[in-house]
Amino acid sequence: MLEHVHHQVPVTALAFSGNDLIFAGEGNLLNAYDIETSQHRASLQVFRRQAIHGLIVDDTESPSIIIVWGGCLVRSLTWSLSGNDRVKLKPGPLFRTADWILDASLSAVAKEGGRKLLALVTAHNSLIVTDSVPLASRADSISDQDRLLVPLVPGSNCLLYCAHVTWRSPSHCLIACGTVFGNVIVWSVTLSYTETGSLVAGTHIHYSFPAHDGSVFGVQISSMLPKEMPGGHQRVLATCSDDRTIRVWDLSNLATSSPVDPSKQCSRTTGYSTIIGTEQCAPRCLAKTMGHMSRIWHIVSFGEDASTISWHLEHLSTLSDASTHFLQQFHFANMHAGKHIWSTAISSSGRIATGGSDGTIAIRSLSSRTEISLPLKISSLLLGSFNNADTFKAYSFIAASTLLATTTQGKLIALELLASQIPWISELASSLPGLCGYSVVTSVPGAGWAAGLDGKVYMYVHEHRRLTQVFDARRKITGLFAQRTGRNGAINLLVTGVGDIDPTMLLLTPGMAENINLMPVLQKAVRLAVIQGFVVTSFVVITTEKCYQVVLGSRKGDAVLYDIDTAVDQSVIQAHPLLQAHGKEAITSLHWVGSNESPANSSGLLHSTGRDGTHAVHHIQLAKGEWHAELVHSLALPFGPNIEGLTIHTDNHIWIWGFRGKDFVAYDINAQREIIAIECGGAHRNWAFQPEGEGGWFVWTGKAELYQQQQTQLSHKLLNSGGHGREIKALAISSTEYQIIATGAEDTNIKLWAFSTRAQDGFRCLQTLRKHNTGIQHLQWSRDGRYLFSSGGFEEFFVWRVRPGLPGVGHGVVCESTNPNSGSSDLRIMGFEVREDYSPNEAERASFEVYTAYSDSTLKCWSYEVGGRTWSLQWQGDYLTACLTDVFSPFTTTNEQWLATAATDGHLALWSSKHTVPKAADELRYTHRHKIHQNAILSVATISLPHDFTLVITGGDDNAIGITRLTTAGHMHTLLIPRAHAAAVTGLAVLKSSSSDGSFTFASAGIDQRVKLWRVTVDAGFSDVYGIEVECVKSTFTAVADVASVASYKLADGKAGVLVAGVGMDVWEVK
Amino acid sequence: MGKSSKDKRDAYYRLAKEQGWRARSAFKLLQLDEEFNLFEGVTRVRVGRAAWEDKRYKEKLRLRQADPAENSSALEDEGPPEATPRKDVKIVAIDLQPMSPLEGINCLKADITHPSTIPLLLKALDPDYNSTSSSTEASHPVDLVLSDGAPDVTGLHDLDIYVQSQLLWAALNLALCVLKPGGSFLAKIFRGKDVDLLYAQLKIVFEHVTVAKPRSSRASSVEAFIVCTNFRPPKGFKASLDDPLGAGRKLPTDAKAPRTQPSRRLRDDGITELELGSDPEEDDGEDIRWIAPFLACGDLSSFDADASHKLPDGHISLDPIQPPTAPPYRRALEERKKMGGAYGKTKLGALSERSADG
Repeated sequence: MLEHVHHQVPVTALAFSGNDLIFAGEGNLLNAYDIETSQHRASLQVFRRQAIHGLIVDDTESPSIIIVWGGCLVRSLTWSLSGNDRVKLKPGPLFRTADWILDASLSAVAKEGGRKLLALVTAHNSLIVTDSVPLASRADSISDQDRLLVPLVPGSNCLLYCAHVTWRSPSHCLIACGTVFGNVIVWSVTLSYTETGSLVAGTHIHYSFPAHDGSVFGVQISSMLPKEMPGGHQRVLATCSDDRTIRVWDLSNLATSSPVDPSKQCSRTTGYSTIIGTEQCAPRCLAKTMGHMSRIWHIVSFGEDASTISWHLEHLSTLSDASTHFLQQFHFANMHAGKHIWSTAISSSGRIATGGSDGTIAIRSLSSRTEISLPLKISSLLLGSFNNADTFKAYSFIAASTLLATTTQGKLIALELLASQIPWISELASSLPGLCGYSVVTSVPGAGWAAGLDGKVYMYVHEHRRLTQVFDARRKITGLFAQRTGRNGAINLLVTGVGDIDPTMLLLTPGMAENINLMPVLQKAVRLAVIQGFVVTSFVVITTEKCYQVVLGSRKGDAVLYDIDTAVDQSVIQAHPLLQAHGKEAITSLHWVGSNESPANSSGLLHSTGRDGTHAVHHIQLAKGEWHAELVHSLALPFGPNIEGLTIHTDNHIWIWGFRGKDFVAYDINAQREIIAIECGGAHRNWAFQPEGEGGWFVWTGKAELYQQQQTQLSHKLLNSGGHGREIKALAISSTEYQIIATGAEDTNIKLWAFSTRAQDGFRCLQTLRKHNTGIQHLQWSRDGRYLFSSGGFEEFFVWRVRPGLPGVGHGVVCESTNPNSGSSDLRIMGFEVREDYSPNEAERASFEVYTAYSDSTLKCWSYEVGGRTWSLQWQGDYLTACLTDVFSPFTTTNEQWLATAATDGHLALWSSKHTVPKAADELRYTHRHKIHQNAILSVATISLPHDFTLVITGGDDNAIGITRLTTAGHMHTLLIPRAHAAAVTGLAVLKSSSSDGSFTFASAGIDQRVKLWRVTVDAGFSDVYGIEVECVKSTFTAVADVASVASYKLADGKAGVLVAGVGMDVWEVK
Repeated sequence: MGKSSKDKRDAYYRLAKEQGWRARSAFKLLQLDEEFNLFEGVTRVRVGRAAWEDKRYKEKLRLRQADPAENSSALEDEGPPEATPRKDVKIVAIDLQPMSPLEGINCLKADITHPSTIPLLLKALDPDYNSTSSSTEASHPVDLVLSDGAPDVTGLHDLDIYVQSQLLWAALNLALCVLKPGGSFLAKIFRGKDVDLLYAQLKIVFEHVTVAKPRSSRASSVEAFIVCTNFRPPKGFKASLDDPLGAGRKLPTDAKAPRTQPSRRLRDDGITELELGSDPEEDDGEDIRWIAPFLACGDLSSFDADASHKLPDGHISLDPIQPPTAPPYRRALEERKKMGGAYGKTKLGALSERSADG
């Protein structure tokens, strides 16, 4: 049996209840979440095999009512609070309509009757009006006949993509709908009761007009607008379409009638029309905009003062102001991965929630944006130079909201930033000749340094408001880097100059007793020898018990280490090459996290960011006087390539910042979410960022002016961590005790996940691996879970080293090697098999045999040496012309000679995997070929049984599952279940076997959104397939569409589970 | 993707251009016909979607060759000279978009979901048809109805499948009005969730229902074709576009009627076929499910739509025969181009590649 555990699928419906709760339709489940704490409060399967498409929450009733619809089904539920903060959901009876429901609306209470009416519009423009009472009644009190809701107003034959229904009064419905052909129809229904108490409807078509050039995907009627609105529009209609425009129409006048006969609403013309007729029945078009990069799916709502929020389902959202007859982009957010936002809701308190195809629910405030201040220009006039000649030059934060800044005329000032106000400016020095025209600034908390052309380095200590000169380099200074080391207030300041001059490191320590202010004074200056062309771009000091070291990062991606022995008086210190990271791009920041585990050995993690768009971590160790650096983590960030800095923030979360196009972006790598995004014009400017709380201060220079912006709270809350932006194509679960789920998707990313049922959080994304340029085709873990292999298009094949439990980072991931053919052609590596050749004592020197199956029917065998990271092509063979879909070892014994391939021609082929002499493609062929399916084999699972045979289970595009008995001699016999699924069988996984009776179970899943459990018994006494019996023991609906893979997953307490991946992920327990 | 890389990626895209078909989908019909002999003895056809009437045109060639007595009269400018339409073959093609005309084919720009299309179609099939009479049943019914209609997919799988099923119902409703008893119906279908409900409905009005997948259709695509033969309307059934099937009206089904029986048999090819029978638990009340038998069409030796192919040396990438006539987003692209936006870089000509996608 299969029992549902958890799923993460597109969020297709959302509704707020008051200010505390939000209800979400995720597949066929209705979930409730607490908005403040993000906690999951309830879950109920509302439909058996239908996703939820819409929700209405009515809190005015007691108990509160939720109306849920999806497809042709409607159900009413009640909810109440029960103990321990749980929400209790009680389902009412299930009703069905004959047609797809596009929208629903609940009326207000009419005075006399006191009953609310539910209006439903269907995809053929029919209107169903039903009393809400029977909907909420007890399930057994309703006859089957009454469960079919019959239209009050019959529809037409043409199909709608969208509709919106609103109640103008308890007896008057207003409906807008959009057709496939770009027409919009606005009509209304007046309800009355006959003497017998049955409802009758009078219909009235107000407008029927060609609104768009393409299919209309969204329509939304506003509520009544306030009278003081400019233009005096009382009601507007917004529409959006395939033609990429949003249009707003004036619906103030509903007295008009369309001359079109209501019974032939669509008969104007059929098909797309270039002639625009019946202009007179079109409302006035108020505004039109092209705010979107691609197709627009929904117009969500109208808020206060006629603002519309239109969600654009690719990346953007716009809040538009329609009152002035043009749509102005007001807000822009990027909260979901991938392409689609499928649902939205607005709360009475002005929150907006969106549900994405990535399975995330994002909530933000709609109107007042208090969490981030507006960008504020700090005018250069504040510098007191009225001819506007002086401007801000270089600056750096010396305290949470205080900057030390230089000006082009050589002033040194302190800026106290204030939220949404002009900052306080205090002048520290009116004119320092060396800082005129050119200057650099750096800081540590509490102190800052400035230097310029003449080489004089000035230090400002904020606590004492004192400025001193600490050093004179006697030549132009190009860079200043500072770090506070140790608790005694010592500071290391690195000063770099032009030409082949070695950088100088200054040791500043608080002075002796006579210096009452304890101002740091220069203790020592040493020169750090650098090779020619080494331009310092980053600096970090590593202190250990005995000595301390300095690491410098260069513009060309090198890092060098200096051992500084304080006991020995050296003036020049030689560099030790330490590591190369970030390709040939600049290392922009270095951050040291020491390890306290072994005081004898100096070791720790060195974080770095670079302009190659990555964050890297090296494990650094001092052993026998030698420093060793090992790359333990290196991943590209979802922005860049200019990654500029890193900090370890509260809760040990690592924040990394840099630029994405014109935006400055900060990202939390542990939470896998964006923290801040500020439009500043791009990376090529002076800027400073001070992380704080849920954001921080960002100051930047744009067009010779200074700007400031502060974020105090996250712009939006994510109720659950999101998944892939597009459908998952490959799935692999590590066979280690602590299982890591790896998924590869059409969005070209690989994600590593942990799954937990206890923490309510379900899937937690550990890392996102961004390197592939195409959708992922296949993933496989090494047996010990240390390596993950991935393949995609363009012959991309990557070897990833995964290190669980890397302090700070969580899971360290490094792409250790790429197959030398990666990117060499447009062939896809459809599948691969990795065989391991570990010698137990020399794990690091192991090698992998990698068999790759290509879309042009070739099969290649590579040997990958882990130690040297080298590849050699062992042999290759040509199958036929059919695309290979998979390659696998049918027998689990490592020394087995057989290798099997599956292809789009439905055949299984056997190859001999042992070739001592390298062979070219045309020399090598399969040795056995066996037909199973009519066309493509899309999934394969194997189980080795005693008596030297294996069962190969195959799922086909032909709906069939084949069970092929393969002997070590290469004989194959097949038992085929032709109608195993109603559509292609895309996932198979062997779950458990019992050696006692020779039976085992396997799970299958397909595009028909069914998961099936099969029991197979094998009597090995029979030859061929006579001894094989198959039984389907369970068939159930999965909310995951486009299933691409199924895998066996061990749930907590060792229970057997199945994981289904496609558009989302779904976990089942096998009982 | 550029033209050349698409040539490599998709053998049928290249072949369509080389052999002069308007779209690669022509091969889908050729391969379906290889298996089902859809055009044998067929004289009256109705086609939905533009790309296929070209196919039909070539198909007539085959019909004509089978009938040497036919008078091959003049056809001067385009096409093979022997491709003259046979007098007793009537083809009507319907598409939403304007179509480039084809000799011998009556092309209609209409919406198959719309009731007013029926009189248009009947008129096109039979010039004597009087649209004022209320009858929507053809006086000269047709042998074969083909539909290759597909919606703009949204990405919301439920909705895409629903809209596609609505197109299938629309084509079937038209077919029910014009199809001869014993006639055939062929339509594109998305093999997704609940497709077994559709199969069960079709099985009521046709003796044989098979879901067929031509090799020219990619295995990675949900697209397949439902081939229904021997039309046998239930007693008392009257087709009507005023009360069409699909949106509400369903064909009455008998839940107890035998569907697929459990069996285990050894096939000639050595494979043991295990039929487990229909599971009544799969049904939703009166919604009966049935999985139609699957048949892959086209020779295994024919090109594989999923495979990458090596292009011969000196291969020249050809332009598609017929670019799309008027995509709805054309104006948006033009606007964006004017604004110099990202889409401005997209050549409108690049759109033409979509035509060969179908």
